[in-house]
Formats: sequence, C-alpha cells, structure tokens
Amino acid sequence: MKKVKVGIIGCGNISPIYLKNLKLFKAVDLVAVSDLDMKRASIKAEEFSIPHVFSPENLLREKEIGIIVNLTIPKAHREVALASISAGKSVYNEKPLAVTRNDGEKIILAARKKGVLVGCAPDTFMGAGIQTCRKILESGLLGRPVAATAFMACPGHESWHPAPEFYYQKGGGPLLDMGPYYITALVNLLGPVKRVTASAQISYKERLITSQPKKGKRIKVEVPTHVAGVLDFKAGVVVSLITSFDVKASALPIIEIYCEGGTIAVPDPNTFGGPVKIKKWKENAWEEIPLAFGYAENSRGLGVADMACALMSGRKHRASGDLAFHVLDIMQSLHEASVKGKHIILESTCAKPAPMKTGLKPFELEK
Amino acid sequence: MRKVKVGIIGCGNISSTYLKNLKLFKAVDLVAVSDLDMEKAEAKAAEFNIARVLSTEKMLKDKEIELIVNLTVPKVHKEVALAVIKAGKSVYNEKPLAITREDGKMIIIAAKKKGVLTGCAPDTFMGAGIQTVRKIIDSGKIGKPVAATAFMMGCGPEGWHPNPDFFYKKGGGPLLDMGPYYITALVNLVGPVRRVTSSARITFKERITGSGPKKGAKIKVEVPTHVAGVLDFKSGAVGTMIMSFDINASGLPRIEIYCEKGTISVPDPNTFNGPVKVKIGNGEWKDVPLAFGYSENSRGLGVADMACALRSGRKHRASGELAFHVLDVMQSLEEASKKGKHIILASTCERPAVMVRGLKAYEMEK
Repeated sequence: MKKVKVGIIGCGNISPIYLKNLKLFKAVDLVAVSDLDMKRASIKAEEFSIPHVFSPENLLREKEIGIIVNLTIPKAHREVALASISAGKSVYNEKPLAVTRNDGEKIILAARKKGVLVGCAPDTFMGAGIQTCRKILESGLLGRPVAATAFMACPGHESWHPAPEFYYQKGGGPLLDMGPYYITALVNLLGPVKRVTASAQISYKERLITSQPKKGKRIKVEVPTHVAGVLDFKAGVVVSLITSFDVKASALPIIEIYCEGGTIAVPDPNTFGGPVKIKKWKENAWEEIPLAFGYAENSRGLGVADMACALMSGRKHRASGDLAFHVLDIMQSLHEASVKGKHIILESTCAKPAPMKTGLKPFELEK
Repeated sequence: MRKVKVGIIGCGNISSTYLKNLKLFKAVDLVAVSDLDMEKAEAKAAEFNIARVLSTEKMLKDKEIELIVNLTVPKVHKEVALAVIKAGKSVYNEKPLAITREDGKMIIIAAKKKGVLTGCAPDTFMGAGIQTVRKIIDSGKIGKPVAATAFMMGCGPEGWHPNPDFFYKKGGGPLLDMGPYYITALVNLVGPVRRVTSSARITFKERITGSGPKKGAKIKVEVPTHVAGVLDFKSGAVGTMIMSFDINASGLPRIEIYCEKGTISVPDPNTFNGPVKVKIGNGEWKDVPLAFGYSENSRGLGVADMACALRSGRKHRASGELAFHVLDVMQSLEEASKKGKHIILASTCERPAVMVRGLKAYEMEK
C-alpha cells in the first residue's frame, strides 16, 4: 500500500505517543521530526528511529512530505499551520485547532484555497468506546436522544504539573484544554450545535503551585476556570456541559446521553476505550456493552492515519478541520455567551464524521 | 406560648401530611378545614379529628383563625392567598407561591400592606439533611461554595399519577413542580441568585397517561419538560441545574456543592432526611451525622415556624420573600431560553436563619 510521508513539528510532552503510533499506522511513513529546540528533536528522532531531523523551515521545504503534524503549543497552532499550508502541505493540528475563531477560520480558508487538507485532534472519538456509543445511538435500540450531560470537573493541574502556568493563561482554561474531547465526542454522537449559553467564571484570581519545581509560586488566572454551559443541538437535543478546574471532588458521571428508551453512559472521551454502559427504560441495572470496534487502546495519531488515507483515496477524513472549527466556535461562543449575557447562535456547522469500520486489522483504516 | 389557630383550605392529596403534622406542632392549633368539595373536607376532618369544617368564606370570617394554610392547586394560589390576606390573616401557600412573578408580587405586597405574614412551602430545607449541609458550609471548614449542581431527572408522573394532565399545563412542568425544592435548598445554602440562563424545551408534544381510569389518554404538553439552566449566585458561585420529565435513567447525583476544599453531597431536597456526605480531595466520601431534628417527613414545619414568628415577632424561615425569589428564578429560567438572553434577577432575599439544635419534638424554640 502507498503511504503518505509525514513530518512532526513540536517534540514536547504529547509527541512520544504520536511518534510511537505514527510509526505503526500502515498509511503513514513518519520520516522527519522538527522542533525550535533541535536538540529536543534529535533526542526524539533517536528514541523512535526517525530518519531525519529538520529545522521547521527545512521540514516545510521537503518536497516529499505530504502531512505536517503540528504539535506546537496552542498559541502557535495558527502560525505553524499557515506556514505548512503555504508550503503546500496538509496539516494536522494538536487540539485546539487555534485559540480563536478568527485564527481557526484563517487556517480553514487558506487550506481550501491551496487545495490541502486540515485535520485536528482529538481523534479519541474514532476509538472503540465512542464509536460503540454511536452504533447504539444509530441502531435505534434506545430511540432518539433527547438530552445529554457532559462533565469534566477537576481541581486543576497546579498540584502535579511541573509548569502549570499555561493552564490559567489565554489559550488555556478547562474549556479549551479539555472541551475539545467532550464537545467533539458529542458532535460525533449528536450532530452539530445550533445555540449555546453559559456562565464562565474565574473562581480564584490566583492559583498556588504546590508541585515541584515551582512550588510556592502564584499564577495569575486570566481565563475562566469554571464554565457551565448549555448547548442546543440542531437535532433538538439539549446538553448541559461543565468544564472546571475548580471542583475538588464530585460523583458526576463523565457523559450521559438520555434517549427515549434509556440512557447511554459514554466513556471518558480523553481515552479510546470503554466501558460503554446502557440502562434501558424500567430496568434497574446498567448493562455493559461489548466494544464493537477496534482502537480501544491509546491510538493518538489515528486521525492522522485517517487523513493520510483520505489524501490517497479522495474520501473525507474524520478528524477534520471543519469539525474542529465547529468545536472551536462552540467553545469561544460559550465564553462569549457569559460575557455578553446572551445566547449565541452558531454561524458554523459541520457534518457528523463517518462512523469507523468494524473488523479492521491493527493500524489499518480500510479493509 | 399561646398557640396560633390555623385553618386549612384545600383537602387534596398533599393535605394528609399537613393534617397529621399540624396537629402535633406545639405552636399550632389546627381548628378547621375547608374545601370547595365539602364532602372531601368532612372526610378529612373525621379522619384527623379536626373540630370544624367550614366553607372557605366562613373560614375567612372566623375571627379566631390567624393563619391559613393554602393547599389549593397552583393556579388558584394567588386568588386564595389574596382573599386570606384581605381577611387580615397570615397565609402559608403550598409551593409554588404562585404561577407567575406578577401574581407572587401581588401576594407579597398585599400582605405587607395588611401587616400579615406570607409563608410558602417547601419547608424541607428546614429538615435535618439540608440544615446539616448548611452547618458544614457556615462552619467554613471546607471553605466557601464556588459551584454547585442540582439534578431532578425524572420520566414524568404520567406513569403512576391517576390525573397527570396538570403536570403538563401552565403552572406545571418539572421546573415549577420540583424546582422549588431544589432552588430553595440552594438559596438556603449558597444565598440568593443574581443571574440565570437556560435552555428549556418541550421534548415530546404529547404524553400518554399510564395508569388509572384515564389510562391511554393523550395529554397535550404546554410547558417545557426539560429545563437545563445555569444560575449565577450573588456570592459568585455558579450552579448548573436540570429539571426534567424526559429522562428514563441517569447516574447523576442530586445536589453537589463544590467548596474551596471539598465537596458536599446534599440529600434529596424533597425529603427532610440525609444522607449528607463530604469528600475532601482524593479521600473517600464520608457520611456526616445529621446535627438537627426533623429528619422524618415534617411538612408543616414551615407553618409551625411561622406561627412562632407571629407570636415572637422574629422572622420566619419559609417566607414569602424566599418563595418569591425562587419563583422569580424559575420564571427567569424559562424566559432566558425564550428570549435567548441571560436574565438578571430583580428580586433577592436573605438566607433564612439556621434551625435551632437540640429541639424537643414538634417544638421550634428551646
């Protein structure tokens, strides 16, 4: 099978899982890594046996490379993506697509003009867990979905992360950090969003770092750390969403989808696996549903492999720029709804990505 | 203390608990019952050994009765309450205070003018469960509340209620029906609400009566049956709330209050009881022993408290002011969805006083 040559820009914390997996996907030929810090790039290249280490500029000049995986920090997503597109390459961003709607739109428009593809993490919705939920929804077993809840409620990251400042600065916050997993999963399951409203608050003006090596340092909080929203989906489903760094403990489930004939407990959308549970109308117990798809383990990069297949066959890819832009639009609209004190009708929309195929061989996307 | 003579108007489903309990509270002398259907009133009087059965008009004219408990259907809460106030008596309404903000306001203003008291159910927040939660919050041991969640995820009452139509007509819906328990509990715990937003939806245009003689009858739905709201409290805390008749099953907790150092799991606010649980950081959920009386079904507690307030001049807890704020919150939640904007509340209220600990049964003061 033909492969698409891929290069990675950004060799930070998230890169090892991409490096590991992109070496295994059959549609991908991972040929080069790059980082502003060349030493960091060299170390990763050695660790994962990648043939080339380039500066970002030189990587973009490589004729053979078809996809750039952009693993830079969110603030730099736009700049790196636009440079990749300008070099005639398709680009796959780590989440979020960009830190503002305007930046996201620039990326989408530039790619369309240039005739290249834009993809974006998360690709966890392509995993076995969420795909199994989608199959249950579309089977009609439980009837139509009518409402849902999605909660990411945690105490923040200053007690364990060695450098947690960015979580509380522009481009951070629980919504931009974790929202993409939850909202992308919901859009995949329920379709696009029509209207949102929210209250988004900075509960603490400062956070105190208690992890090493910055223990005792204070962080000035620039972004809301508790975002409580309500999303009206085009299909009529009403979804209550919380993303929070201000909750010390809770018994909230992660995602529940309420259907006419019962409820689906959706697994953590920051993972690829299960468990998927359903509780049917008038039954007392939750029933675990066996996963019906592959990719239950950490398969980050699956979206890149899918985009590589799409590049070769001309079909649509699942973790697309359109999906990521709609998710970014939702997130920014949630923040705006709270500031403006009004509901925001979304201007963007997207199609539900195609369901995954069942019975695939490991690291393949087509039969 | 001289007891306050009390009469009840409305002898429907909810009246039995009031009749039973109001006979026991030390501050209350339950002397008369009334209903448009005199037969119904007589049956209740016989069952609970109440001295007199009066027409509503006669009850209002009775000089001795100082306080009337209004257990009529929500739609007539206003009319009955205003007649009671006009007769110079204090009035305690079953929830909600009224079905519109305007009606509620008329009741409050009329009572203030006349110098009588207005009270309103629910009084469950005065029970052992919610009071124990309040004590934890007020102690400061786990810091201030920063956020909260409150969920009433039901499938609607048409499966069991013989006469469920009114749940789906104006004045019904999950918000007006169950919201008062949840929102009153939250206001008691976190304080008044400053701003609300929501999405409220009629999910199913029709419901089917599931039991009784009307089984199979269709009900046309006139009010939202799924209300997903967000409440900004004056204190800065943010509450997420869902009141729904559209949910078959869920793993959601009822009420959680997220404080600076830990979280409180609040018991069902439609009961007086526990369990109350607290979780600090990664620790286990720990049961907190209830620190107050009234953990059993004590509906009428708010009436007894109002009777005490009438005598001593202190404030009563399940007050018209609190109920009006809760009504304002509920109506604003519906309006926010319709108008597509957040509603800043015009009303506010104080948190009611904490209950006294170590009370003897059916007393309110030591």
